[in-house]
Amino acid sequence: MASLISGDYRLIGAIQGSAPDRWYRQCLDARSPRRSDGSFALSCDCPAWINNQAGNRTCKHSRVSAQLLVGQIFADAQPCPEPLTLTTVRAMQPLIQGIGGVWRLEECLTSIANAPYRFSLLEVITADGPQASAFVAMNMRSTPHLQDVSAAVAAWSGWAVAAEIARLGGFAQVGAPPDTHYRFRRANRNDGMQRFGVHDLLTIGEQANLGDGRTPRQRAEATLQMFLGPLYATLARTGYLDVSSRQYVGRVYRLRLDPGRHYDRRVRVFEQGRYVRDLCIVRRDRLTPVQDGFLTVFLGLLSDEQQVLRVVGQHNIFAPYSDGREREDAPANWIPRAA
Amino acid sequence: MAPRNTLPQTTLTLHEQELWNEWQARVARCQAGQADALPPEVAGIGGLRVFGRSGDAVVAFPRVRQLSDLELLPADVQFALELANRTIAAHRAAGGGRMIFATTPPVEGRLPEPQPIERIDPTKHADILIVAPIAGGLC
Repeated sequence: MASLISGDYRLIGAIQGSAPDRWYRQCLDARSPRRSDGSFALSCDCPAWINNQAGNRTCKHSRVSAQLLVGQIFADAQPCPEPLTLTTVRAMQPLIQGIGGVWRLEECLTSIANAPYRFSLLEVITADGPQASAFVAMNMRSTPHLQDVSAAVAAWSGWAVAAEIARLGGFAQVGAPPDTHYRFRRANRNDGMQRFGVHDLLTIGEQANLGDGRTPRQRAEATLQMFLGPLYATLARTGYLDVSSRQYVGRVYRLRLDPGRHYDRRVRVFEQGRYVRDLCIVRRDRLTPVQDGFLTVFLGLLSDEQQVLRVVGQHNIFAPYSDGREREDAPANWIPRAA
Repeated sequence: MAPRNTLPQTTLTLHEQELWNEWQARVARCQAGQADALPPEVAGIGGLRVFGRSGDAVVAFPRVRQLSDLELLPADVQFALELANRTIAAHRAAGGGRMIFATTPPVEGRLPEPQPIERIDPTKHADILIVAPIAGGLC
């Protein structure tokens, strides 16, 4: 069966659907990029394309992709108020870190079928001549944070650019493509219980639909509530929980949870009652709910403080108030914990 | 001579998938109130929660009063515990930096006391968490 991983298609971009975890890959037939009528042989993961609702193997997403392939500029494009930086994107995608050349990241705000979108185009022209580009379009209705945009551009565009440069250089593969795209399935009529099939133990916890009628965020919120117990009410009231360090006398970690549950907040560190710095600790997979990330850091600091601090290293320490201006009025009291 | 493979088997055979399905049906019957769904040696059902894109998926495992009771259990019940332990071993071997804790919801005025574990003790542990991988980075 023809597939992206076997090189039958080239990934040219990814477009986010109406739900944040729905990504529709835009693929071009690698062997016959044009159909007999001259149009691009594009495919899309959206239900409209899969069911061929338009009758001509196009959809609103593939039509936009075709526009971009011929270099057509969006008529209603607006500049992005908070642009991404190439440094961030390259830092998040190891596959492109070794590719030299002239890199470019171009962004704009526009719309697809009246829905607001943010387009990010990543491009490289290598010193030897080969060039590659790929785009990501994020649905602004889901109000993505800048870290979501950079993660998506690094994952999709980064992989696509690396794959194209490898292909042009005569290499077959650069590793598996991102696997977070939408898969069309018939409606699931389950009994609401969380019962799931297991094929590979390492993929347990990776299916969004467990047939229990709940979303991943709802499950994560319930787990947070369960394992915080009475502290959950404190967290809801104050927006943070304090953890006294077991290893450093006088140190308190203040863990904050984003009220909208959209993004990771930096951990505020207090020494002897004084707010001194921020630590940036994030979920490695942005599709894991924020609540799970919060609980991970909370339990990690309680159980194995050094392991949590190891992921911070030296480069993720910031000055106070580095990710928000909420004033720190509440005292952070260090309470010794039993070893 | 081929190198010895020390990684745990992460994929299930068809027979193991059948055992897993039997166990899940048994748990569903228990949760529906069927008194004899679980054998008498099983003291309760524990949960291994794997954090990820699901939020968290719960792998149910049997809890027993004493380890010697394990060998009295039907094959699917024994397998459920083995599967939970294999899941832990697989994540440890995968090297993703995930922490694995046994913990319990705290009582009023106290912090949780998560304990890092390498294997489930079905006589002690009820709630196990394989938490999300974390990294230092842009946020």
